[in-house]
Amino acid sequence: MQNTSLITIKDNQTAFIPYLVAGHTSNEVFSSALRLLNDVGADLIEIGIPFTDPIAEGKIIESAHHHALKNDFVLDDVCQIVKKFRTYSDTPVIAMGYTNSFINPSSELIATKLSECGVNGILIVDLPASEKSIINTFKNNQLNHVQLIAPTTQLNLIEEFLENDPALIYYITQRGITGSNNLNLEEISEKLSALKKLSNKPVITGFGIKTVEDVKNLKTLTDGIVIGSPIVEKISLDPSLTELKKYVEPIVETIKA
Amino acid sequence: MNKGYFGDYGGLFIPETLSHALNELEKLYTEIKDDKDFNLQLTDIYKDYVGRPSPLYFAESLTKHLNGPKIWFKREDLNHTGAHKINNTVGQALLAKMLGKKRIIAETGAGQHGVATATICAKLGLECIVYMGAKDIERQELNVFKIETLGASIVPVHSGTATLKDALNEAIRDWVTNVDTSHYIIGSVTGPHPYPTIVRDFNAISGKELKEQSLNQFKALPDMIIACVGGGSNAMGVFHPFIEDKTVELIGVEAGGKDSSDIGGASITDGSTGVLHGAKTKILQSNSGNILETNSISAGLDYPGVGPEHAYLADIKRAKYVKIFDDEALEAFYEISRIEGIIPALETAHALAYLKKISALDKSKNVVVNMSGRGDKDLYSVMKNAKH
Ligand SMILES: Cc1ncc(COP(=O)(O)O)c(C=O)c1O
Repeated sequence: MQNTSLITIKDNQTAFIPYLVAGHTSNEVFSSALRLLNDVGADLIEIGIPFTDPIAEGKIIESAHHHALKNDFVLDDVCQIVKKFRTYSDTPVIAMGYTNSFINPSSELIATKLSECGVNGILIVDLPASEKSIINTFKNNQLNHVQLIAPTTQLNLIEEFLENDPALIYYITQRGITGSNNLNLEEISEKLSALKKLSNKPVITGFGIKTVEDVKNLKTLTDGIVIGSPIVEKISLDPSLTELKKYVEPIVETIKA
Repeated sequence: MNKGYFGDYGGLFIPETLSHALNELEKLYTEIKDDKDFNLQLTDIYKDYVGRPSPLYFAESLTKHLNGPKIWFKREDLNHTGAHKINNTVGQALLAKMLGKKRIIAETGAGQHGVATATICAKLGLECIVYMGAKDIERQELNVFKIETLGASIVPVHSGTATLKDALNEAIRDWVTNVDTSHYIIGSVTGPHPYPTIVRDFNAISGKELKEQSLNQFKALPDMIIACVGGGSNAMGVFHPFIEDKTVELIGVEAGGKDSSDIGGASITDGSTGVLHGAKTKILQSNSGNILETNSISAGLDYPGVGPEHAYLADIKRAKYVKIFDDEALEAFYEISRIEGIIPALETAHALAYLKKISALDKSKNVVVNMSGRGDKDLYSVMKNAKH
């Protein structure tokens, strides 16, 4: 069965959900970034599982995936790091990635591993609604299912996704890959309220959210804001994480204000 | 069988933004594939523009030389633009027009699919953007120039392995971003449903012609059909009309790379089940599910996946898949050029190299090799290698 919820819907509060890539730029840096993001007030953390062919990612996140793989990234390292994280934090963590990373050598084995080390959910970018047995394997290991919905997703497919009972819905703000920038607030607002009518689960929002201004515009519309590319970029540019701290602090302040 | 699946393989493993476009494409294709007007338009282009039907040629000198079964070539190399790839692009470009999309995206490895896409886009007045790995741009210079001459733009892809696989990633990213205005013409029987079916059906023109031609020319169905397999479009096109004809042996030839210790492009022979570029199929991957870098002398076979229907035909043993190494292909490239006066593409040379392994077949048998393309595009890189 799925665990408790990943985030709870609270009045006038929006969750801050940072994304970073496991093993980027090294296991040490990744581990420190996890702590930093926790300490500044992350409500949920998304960990990208590096894959050679991440087709929904823009240049910044794709390079981070490739960088981590060049450093011989292995899933066991992430598990070790999350285990350590669990000694000082109970902030929920989800693993985000591509189907092929979640079925090899088998989905059962990956699910057991992730669950044992303290990961709370999974988000598989390219998993169709029809792959119920994969989704159930993860659910049976206490891993919450997170479902992506795009601006182009038609109602009948949204309903099919909802039948899989996701713990959390992640609305993609735009037609595009991570890091692209063309937020259309009117469309986002319309789609989010439509989703809210179809489901009582929290709906978080991500893709292309970068600035304090973006966050201000979106925070009343959504239960959580995911920020990926800018965070990954700061980690790439400055593994000492000073830049990351400088970047996220005003963002968190704005979200929590 | 589940929608979009061939046995266990296929499906739609895609970023969610694309599902609507793929559904629309499937709907349109189902509506028009048997439509009279659509097929008249297509037949017209095939006949007067592509130059179909392509001949079935008896390779008499080669047959004598190998002293085995009778060898025939299905001459897809004589098509306009020099390969089978145009069979698919003209069909899909017509579909794009019907979808109201005027911007076309394509990926290319050897450059043949890029050329075939740029060609039909020029004719139909469509904007064309071709993604190509930086490594392939280097080894397929002539096709790069051709694509640009035809008025298309090439976007070099430097990430990952800088070959076909990464060009495909980039094309998908473009499509995710411009999905409302663009149609993606994928170059093989790969990718998410409905592409493997659409690309197969448009390529099946060669198999249908072959059936008629073999009955006319040697009064029987072929005993064996041999085709090279990268993504698998030329092979699936020529195999498909014969799948129910159980006496016809179907052989798919994959690229083996340098030698048996190399990772070539033999996704069926050497790979395992996984998900790549939108489909569950046989892929070359590490234990953790990351995609391996492949090596082949031929850019068009240098790909770590294969069309899901091939994975299925291999599972049910309806087709047999084998691999040929770089040296064997190169030897066939020279040999067929000298003996038959036909310079084959390096991809096709893999299929031709397999002929050496079947010379023990009875002399009365008819073996057809699908000549997927001509070798002009490869001359420069073969020449450079020969000078080393
Ligand atoms: C001449 C030729 N044959 C074969 C192929 C391999 O593609 P497929 O396996 O889809 O036929 C290519 C690809 O570029 C090609 O150019």
